[in-house]
Amino acid sequence: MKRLALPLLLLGAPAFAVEWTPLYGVDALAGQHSFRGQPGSFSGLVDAVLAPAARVDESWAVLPSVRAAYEGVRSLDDALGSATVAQERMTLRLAGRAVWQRPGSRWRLKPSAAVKTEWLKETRDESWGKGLFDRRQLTLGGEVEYLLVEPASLRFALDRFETQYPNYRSLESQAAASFAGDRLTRELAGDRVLDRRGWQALAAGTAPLGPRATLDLSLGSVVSDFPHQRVVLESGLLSGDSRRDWLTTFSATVRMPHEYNLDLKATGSLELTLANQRSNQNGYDASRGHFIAQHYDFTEWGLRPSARLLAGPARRPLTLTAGLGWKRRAYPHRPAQDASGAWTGGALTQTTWSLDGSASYPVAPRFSLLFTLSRVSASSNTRFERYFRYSYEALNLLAGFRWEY
Amino acid sequence: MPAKAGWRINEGDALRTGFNARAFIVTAQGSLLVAEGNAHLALEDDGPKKLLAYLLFGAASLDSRGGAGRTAALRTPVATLRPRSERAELSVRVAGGGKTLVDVKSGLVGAEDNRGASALLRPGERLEADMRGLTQTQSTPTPAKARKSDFAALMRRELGFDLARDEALERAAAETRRSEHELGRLLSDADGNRVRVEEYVTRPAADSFKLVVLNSRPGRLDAFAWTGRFDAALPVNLEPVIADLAGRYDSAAALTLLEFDALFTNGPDRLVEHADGGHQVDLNNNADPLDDVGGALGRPFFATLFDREGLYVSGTLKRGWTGTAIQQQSDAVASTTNDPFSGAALAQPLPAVAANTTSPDAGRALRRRLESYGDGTELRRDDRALDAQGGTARAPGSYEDHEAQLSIGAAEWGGRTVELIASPRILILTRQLP
Repeated sequence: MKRLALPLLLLGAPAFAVEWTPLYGVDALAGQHSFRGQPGSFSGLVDAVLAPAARVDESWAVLPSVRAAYEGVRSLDDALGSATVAQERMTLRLAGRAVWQRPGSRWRLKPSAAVKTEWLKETRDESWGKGLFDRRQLTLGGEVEYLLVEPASLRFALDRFETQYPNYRSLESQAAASFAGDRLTRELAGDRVLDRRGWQALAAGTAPLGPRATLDLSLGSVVSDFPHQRVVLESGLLSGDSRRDWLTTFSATVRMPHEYNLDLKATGSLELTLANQRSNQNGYDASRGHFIAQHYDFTEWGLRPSARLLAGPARRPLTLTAGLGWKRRAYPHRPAQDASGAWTGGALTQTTWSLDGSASYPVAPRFSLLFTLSRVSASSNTRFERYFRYSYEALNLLAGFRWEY
Repeated sequence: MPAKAGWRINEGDALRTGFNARAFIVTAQGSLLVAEGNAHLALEDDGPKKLLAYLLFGAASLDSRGGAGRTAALRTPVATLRPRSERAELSVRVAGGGKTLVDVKSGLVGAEDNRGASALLRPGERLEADMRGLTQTQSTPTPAKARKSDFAALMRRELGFDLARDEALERAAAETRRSEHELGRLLSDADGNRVRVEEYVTRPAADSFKLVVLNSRPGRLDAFAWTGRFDAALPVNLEPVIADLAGRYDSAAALTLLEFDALFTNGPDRLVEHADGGHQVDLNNNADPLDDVGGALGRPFFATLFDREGLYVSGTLKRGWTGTAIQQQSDAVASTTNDPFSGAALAQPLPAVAANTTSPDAGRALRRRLESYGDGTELRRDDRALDAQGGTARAPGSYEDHEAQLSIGAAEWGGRTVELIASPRILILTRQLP
């Protein structure tokens, strides 16, 4: 009886005034990816989120979340383009975020932490858990939000992060052990050269832009230190300095909602994006002894007009979206190459046009059928595509459902 | 100007409340208008018979005292709300675009939109209005439901922020992967399997450099290393030195390659080619017309020839030659009983060798060379040109335009091979690919 006393006491105690509100959503799509007109195999993607939000008291709320995703179809909008035709990705992200706001205050403070693991199969001979670019990421930080006229606000965030690639070790470091007698490695050659740690900062805000439009602004920066990756010198050897990258992103989006009648609403958007990377790392083409200072620097501009149309009852409308995207990336210090790989005079550029559309058709409360179509066309002034395809056309055609709360 | 308690608000005046503030207005009729925090409320008419207020944005409530011919109305950008009973209590919230939410606590309230549609609201009923007009009336959510709904909306917003926080780090990770691909460090072999490649130079001495190619496949690491020693210290920029390895027209290169070592290894197995006595020769004006290099007839073309060369399989000399300041390759004399470098007598004479090169697949860029030795051993080598899309490139095709895959096997290696993918330029410049 004594053993039961404590549990009974706990059960009998007045419940702590925690209010739970579960949030969840699942997207599941299947279809085909085609690259340069060659259709790939039929595959799909699933993205599920579960977040049991809890209000602890009038000031505090906590939002733990789990996100799990499988992606068997290559995404057309990532920076990698379509360098690899076959790709599968699984992601698991566990995160926690607290929200503190004193009643009546304009300020919200939000400490947060997240752990993310990504498993990636870029080729068919890679198995789950053995992918070269499998990644673990820990993020710890917080956000401050200052409320203007709701829903407008300003947000400032700062995170410390650490990213590890557990299966990636430089071959040069392995050669030091495997071919010890042949002295094949450079001094200072690192081992886990892709692992990095650093800070990311974000300033973002939303504000009305006249009576009929809103403006979203976002400025972010990621500073990455690669403690095991040494900077390459003009001699081809390694310096004592480690690599450091600054990736800065900016976006400005104007949205204009418009209502035609009771059952027809539309939102037009225009998004301007800028990404800029600065790195102290250089490049070295050993086959030519060619040194390229600041090899990794680039600037990418993007412009994307899009439209969203909602037709039907406000609670369950048919939603149609369409967008046209343009991006131009330029590497100011990296020359283009001819078909044989010889470096030419002009800076390497890549231009990408994208066209996408989607339809969401509600068939039951919180449940919709989804159809998406994306097409990307990329071109470049470099003709050397032995390693990476700069010019291509790719298409994704997917169908599935969305279930959300 | 900042308002103070007890101030008189005149017709036409507008109030703008700050965050966490609230304004109470007692009208001439005795009704009570309350503007909540961050609201804009204008008093357009405030007579004993008529009250008219305009809520531009924010939240407000009205406790109306009507009757006896008195009328009251609270307007928003999209609707007008009129108490229809002697006493009525209502609260109104105006959001972006004028969207209006009305809750009636007591009494009757008439609502009209800007298009003339109207509805009568009873206690506990809620109505929304926007630019489209009035929506259907609903029951006002209980305070607990409303609180839960607001909390869910807030948390949904926070969840969106939280998931978006990863975007910049995802992009940075994607850029890292992209760079690895662009640098040619991730390739697929002829069978479609992943091969990691690293190519770099080292400088073992002031007059030497080493070109290194490393390949990794699951469970194995292969390497090619070519070390060249020159007749003077090398400059910081190796580009002209490496370019001159192919030879040059019109004049001899500033630096002469004196000797080199080429190593293929998978760890336990090694194939080494060593040469020394390097000197530059004008191939287009020597006695051998078969070694001429294209271009104008007789235009000088200088390349390095070596006086001594030896090929070793895991330390055993397989073949070699010697000469003295040879001017064409045909001047070299094949080694038979002596080491080409030391001149020392070999324990056994070198076996005779017969070499045969074939193209086993006429449709593909695959070249197979077999060296058969008189002692029963052999040295096999497959050279492939890899297609960027995967597999072996179609023939005919220049090996220089594709990544090269070499597979080298020797009888002494017990079935093991050295498997290497490398930039064809490195292999051509170092004379490992014809």
